[in-house]
Amino acid sequence: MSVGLMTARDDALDLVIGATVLGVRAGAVTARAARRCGRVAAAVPVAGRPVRAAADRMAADGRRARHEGRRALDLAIDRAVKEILEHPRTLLLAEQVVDSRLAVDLTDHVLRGVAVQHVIEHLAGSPELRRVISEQSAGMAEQTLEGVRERSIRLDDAAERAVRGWLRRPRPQVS
Amino acid sequence: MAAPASTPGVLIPSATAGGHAGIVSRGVALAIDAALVQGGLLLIFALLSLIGSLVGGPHLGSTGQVVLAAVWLFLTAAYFVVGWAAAGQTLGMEAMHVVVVCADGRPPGFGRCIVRVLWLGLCIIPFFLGFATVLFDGRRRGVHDMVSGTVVVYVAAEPGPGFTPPEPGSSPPVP
Repeated sequence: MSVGLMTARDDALDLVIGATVLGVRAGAVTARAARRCGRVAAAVPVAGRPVRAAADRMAADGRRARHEGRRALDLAIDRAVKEILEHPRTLLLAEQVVDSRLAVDLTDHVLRGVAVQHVIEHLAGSPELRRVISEQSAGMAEQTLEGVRERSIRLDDAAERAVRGWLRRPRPQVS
Repeated sequence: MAAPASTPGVLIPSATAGGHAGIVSRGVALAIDAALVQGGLLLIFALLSLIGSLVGGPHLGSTGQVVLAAVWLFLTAAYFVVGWAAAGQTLGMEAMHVVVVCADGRPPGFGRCIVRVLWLGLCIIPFFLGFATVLFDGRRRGVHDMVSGTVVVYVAAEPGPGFTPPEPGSSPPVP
């Protein structure tokens, strides 16, 4: 009794599987045939133009839709970021992060990093940088000395005028 | 008397003193020289003293101290004499762009420089009273300048080998 029932179930299952496989194959064959028909229709002079135009329209619509979707996403992101940045809570959180131990640790980590060490070594060993620094130092020293010289010359004249004024002894005209 | 002030090694005409350096410029130059020469000698003698103490050098008696002081004075005077005779200026004078020349515009000779440095010392001893004449002398000469027949003039740049002294006989009239 039960053996007979199981056999009937297996037969039904096989039938369903067979039908499904057959359907899939038929669908694939139909799709291939439709694709071929489309290609043929596109190649035919009379029907090809409207078919190609329809295909182009569909492609353009798809591109436009993708573009609009991307633009809408960008706008949404911009708006969201702007709102986040302008929110007073964001500033508060940023200040908390900057004041926290995390910022110090991160800075230490960055400073200990290979990249920063490389930059420091590069700058320390750079002859151009050394030349610029030495030129700048020399220029500053020369500028300072120039200021001292100018003031000294003015004071030279002022001191002499003052003493000659006290002595009532004017400087003779220099030819 | 003077070429354009922008020409290196040429006198700068002064509106009041015919290009002769005044008391402030000369004082600053002397201060720079004093700092340089005394600082240098101090460093040298300190090093020698350190080396002497490390090797258990002999203790200087009063004669030794007098000799050491004489050497110190000699080296100080030599700094000025060599600078004036070789280039017409010391390092301090070079910084202040002033140069010492004979009254007729020639560079001073070695003997004249020795006379000048001796009288420079004599001018300094009475609290720099020997420089007071710079304030009212027509050529801004100190006592040591008058004795040694020299004047101190401004130059536009370091004279060095290309130094162009004033033309002979071009000195302004003495009141």
